[in-house]
Amino acid sequence: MPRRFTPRELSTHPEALAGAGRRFVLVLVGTVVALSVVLTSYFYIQQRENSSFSFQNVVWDGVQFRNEHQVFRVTLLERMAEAPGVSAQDVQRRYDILFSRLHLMRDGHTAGIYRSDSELHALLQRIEPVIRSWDTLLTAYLAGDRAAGFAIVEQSRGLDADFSTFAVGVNTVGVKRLEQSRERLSSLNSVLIVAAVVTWLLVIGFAIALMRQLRATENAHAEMQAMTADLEQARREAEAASRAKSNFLAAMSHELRTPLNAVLGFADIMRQGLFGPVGNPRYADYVDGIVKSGQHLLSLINDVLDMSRVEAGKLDLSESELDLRQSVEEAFDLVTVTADGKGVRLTRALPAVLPKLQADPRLLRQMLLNLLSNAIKFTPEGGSVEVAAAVLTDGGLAIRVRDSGVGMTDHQLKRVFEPFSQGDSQRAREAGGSGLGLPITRRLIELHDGQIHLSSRKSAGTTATLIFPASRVQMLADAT
Amino acid sequence: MLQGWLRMGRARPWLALLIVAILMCSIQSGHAAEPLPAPRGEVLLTVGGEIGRGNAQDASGRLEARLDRAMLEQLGLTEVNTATPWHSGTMRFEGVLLRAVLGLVEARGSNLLATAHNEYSATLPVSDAARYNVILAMKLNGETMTLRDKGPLFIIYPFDSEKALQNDMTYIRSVWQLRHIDVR
Repeated sequence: MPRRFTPRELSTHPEALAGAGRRFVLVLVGTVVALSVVLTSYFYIQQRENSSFSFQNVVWDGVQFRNEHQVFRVTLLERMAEAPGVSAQDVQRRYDILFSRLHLMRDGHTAGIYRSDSELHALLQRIEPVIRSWDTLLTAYLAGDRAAGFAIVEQSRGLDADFSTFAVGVNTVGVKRLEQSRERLSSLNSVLIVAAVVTWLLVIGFAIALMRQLRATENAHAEMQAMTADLEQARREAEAASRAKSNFLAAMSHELRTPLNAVLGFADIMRQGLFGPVGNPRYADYVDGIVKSGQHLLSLINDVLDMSRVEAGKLDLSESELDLRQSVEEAFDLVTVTADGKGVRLTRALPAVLPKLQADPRLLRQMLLNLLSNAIKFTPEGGSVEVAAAVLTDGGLAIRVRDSGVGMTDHQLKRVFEPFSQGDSQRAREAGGSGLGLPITRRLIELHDGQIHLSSRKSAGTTATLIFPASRVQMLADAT
Repeated sequence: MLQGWLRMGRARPWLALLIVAILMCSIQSGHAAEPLPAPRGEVLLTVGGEIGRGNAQDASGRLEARLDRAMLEQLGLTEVNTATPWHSGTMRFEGVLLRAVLGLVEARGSNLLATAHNEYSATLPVSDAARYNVILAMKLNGETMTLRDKGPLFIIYPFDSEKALQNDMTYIRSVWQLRHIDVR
């Protein structure tokens, strides 16, 4: 026995699934975007670190500066000691090389780094003017002034401590900078590792969610199938029940008619006095009563039979192209006696040219009969019933039955299509009838894809209109 | 495949002869080259090592090219506008193309050892001279560079022309106060 599901459970299920999926995709996309931003900035920064002038060069420059100073002094001293192969030009060249270093301390990448450290900056401020001042002293020395040479050597020795401090300071700054960039890279590396871990978690989470969703979808599918089977079963049961009821009614109505016909036949024979008159005139009245009541019962049974046929879906249209004028004529023939007996005038107002109608002739006649007998039934003596027909603007056909009878209130009008209800119960009892006429008529016109409209006012008559759709109306070629 | 080798084998004697002939021609033409004229002014650059043309001999008796300012300028000046790590802002350098100098002395090696006045040295691949407009800069913003301005010759790569040139490897090859190139 499959589990039964409430509709609510089933309707919320897929939506909840979809909502969870959307949220998950949002989280996924957000994380991927964040990851790519992190990675992009990581590579960008690393790129910058790579392309920038490295701090090793700065350290090298600082050490070289100190070297050039030493080499210059040594060359100067060699010259002063008149060492062989050391020319005045050599001394001048060494000074120029040393001098060219001063420029590096002011311009370019390196200068910025030296300036950023206050201690280095102060040292340079002390060293630079001294070296510059040697220009004139050196010129004097090379012109023969040995005292100037000694002055340079003296001052140069005085700079040794500053140069040592400078070289050490430059190295410290360089190492510090290097360390900073390494730290930044390593912190970015950890970001990268975290990003990789997050990516893995995401992939795993995605896989799990996907599996869960798949399973949920499978479950929902299975539930849906089970419920469809249940519904199918219920539908079959309901249809079977309905058919059984209709079959019962049809069979019963048919079975009822047989004895009733016998009753009516015998009563009719008695009323006509076929085998001699009925002794007591009062019995003659009773026989009349039997005949009337029997006929009423017969029409009731016929209506119930029709209704149950319609309900059971056993009523198939046997359509043909028919002439409306003839159908109206036939219906009139059947009700003329009743109308005359009651003193109700029957008229028709059919246009000269009528289109052919695609319909079931027997059912059309029954609809007309139902409407006509209703109209006659609820119209007092001296009244009139009129049948009219007209082609509608949309190509449909309207058949109108209008009486000058008692009419109905709005309240009665509303209930008139419910089976076994009659507009005016009191009047209906007087008039007889099952209360099935209009419900049956409506079912029949609906079988023809049409509609029925009813309008009425109390004491001002009733108008019933049958409307056939344009698809069932065929204008004659010569009608145009 | 095997057939191909056999065919090659048959062709080999001819191939060898051809190569020998080409080599002979090249040696012949090397001998035929006129020696460089002697420098008249102060020598700014000496080029030694695997060169085919010179105007002197170095201490060990090998061919050497000694070039003064006039000889260098005769090769034509090329301008390179670029920023460098040692200057603030973009500079205008003018000098001779390194490949022109190498052509002048008929350099045959694949590497250059560039040495400066302060004995700093760096090795450059000859391919750099072929690929980039590497110049031996003589002028900075129109002024002749002296030793004090890192002259008289400063190897300048067109750093700004290509991102790939902006790295330490290129910077250490940019020898300033250049005095000697040894072709290897």
